Amino acid sequence: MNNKYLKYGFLFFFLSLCQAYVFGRINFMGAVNPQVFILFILLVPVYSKSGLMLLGFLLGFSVDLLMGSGGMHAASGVCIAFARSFGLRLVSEKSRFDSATCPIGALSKSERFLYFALLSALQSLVIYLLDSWHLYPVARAGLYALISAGMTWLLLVVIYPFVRDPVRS
Amino acid sequence: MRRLLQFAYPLRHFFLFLSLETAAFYLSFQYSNYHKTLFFGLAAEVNGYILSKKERLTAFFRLEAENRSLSAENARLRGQLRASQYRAAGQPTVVDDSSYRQQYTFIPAEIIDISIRSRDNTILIDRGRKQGVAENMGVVAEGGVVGIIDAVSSHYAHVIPIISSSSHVCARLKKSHFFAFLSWDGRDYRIVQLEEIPDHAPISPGDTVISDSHSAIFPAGVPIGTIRKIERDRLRGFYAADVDLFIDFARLHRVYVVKNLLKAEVNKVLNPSADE
Repeated sequence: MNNKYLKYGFLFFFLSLCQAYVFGRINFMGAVNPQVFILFILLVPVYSKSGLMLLGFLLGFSVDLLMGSGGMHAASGVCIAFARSFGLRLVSEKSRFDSATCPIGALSKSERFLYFALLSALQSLVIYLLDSWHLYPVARAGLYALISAGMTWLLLVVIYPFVRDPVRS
Repeated sequence: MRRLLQFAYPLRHFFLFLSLETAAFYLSFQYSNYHKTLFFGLAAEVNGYILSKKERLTAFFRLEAENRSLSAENARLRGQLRASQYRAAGQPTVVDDSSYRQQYTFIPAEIIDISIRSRDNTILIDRGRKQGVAENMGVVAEGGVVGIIDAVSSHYAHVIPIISSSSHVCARLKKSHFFAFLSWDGRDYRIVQLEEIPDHAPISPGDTVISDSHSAIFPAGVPIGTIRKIERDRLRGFYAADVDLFIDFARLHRVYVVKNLLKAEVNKVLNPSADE
């Protein structure tokens, strides 16, 4: 149990630092960055929607604080925390998850890929719509969101095997 | 009341979602204000520490360009020395040197973090309170005005550059001396907007825009840019113009914080009630 807290606590800080100092500074095409920090929200074994949303807000806000980006990451973190259970139900019939482990331990590979794709698309859309406000047209925000979601999805697929819950896998 | 609670209970997650989103949106649009308050000190120290390590690693690869820029600045400053000038007028004049006193000093600083593609761009520099930097000091660089110090921690300072939607800097047309305000529409980091230029002011594309010493933040005459496009607001009786900046924020690295030694005195004269 303690190990679990330690692991996800470490993941929280590690992902927010990586997002702020590595992935958030790629600026592909001037503004496109992968949003790898959402991996924490997708994996953390917290099943209370309110608790998950608060964690999503805290994680996003930590990234915002380090990057000086206002509340964009916090807004998108809350959004995918709210949508996580819908995403899980959408990709899989297995609606009962073991509350002690990672919510996606029971998913097949293709279900997991789809789950990553759906939530990274939603998160990127929120980030770039907020970012586009008065800066560039909505169509360009859509394009940026699409590219960012693709980059995020690819990185999530690559990183997941290194952080997945050993209990279930 | 009980009925109301019964109705609201199933929607509690949704209400929490709305509250958190509202808070996040508020932070997004009030960025500079929240930074100014309690979070800045800690965030700047953590950010500054990590970014200055990264900066040290990458600085070596910029040395050549850096040397060229410093040489150019040196050459320009040498040209301003009295020894580099000759007396054009026939009448000899005596310059009483004791009548000149230093008003501005410059604290050199390096940029360790800069954003140029947001609405509210920011700059983090590696000088803070311990080096004499304070809020509302101006920041300039070789080539012109950069911005104004917004918040300071012990070793770092946060600058609101002129390419930020919350920046408002006084400027002046060099040729006609008319005074106006500089702002940024958030579109192109190479172009800012000069607003409220009186419509009787002679102005044409190519005119130089310089800083103004109003508010005692910048010395007068620091270059800003040249007029690109002019539009007339007939209703309000003003011109508005796009200004091509001399400074390329994408390549900016070394800056100077402007310390006005007479600022306290100027403020005292402007706001005599502030002391009471």
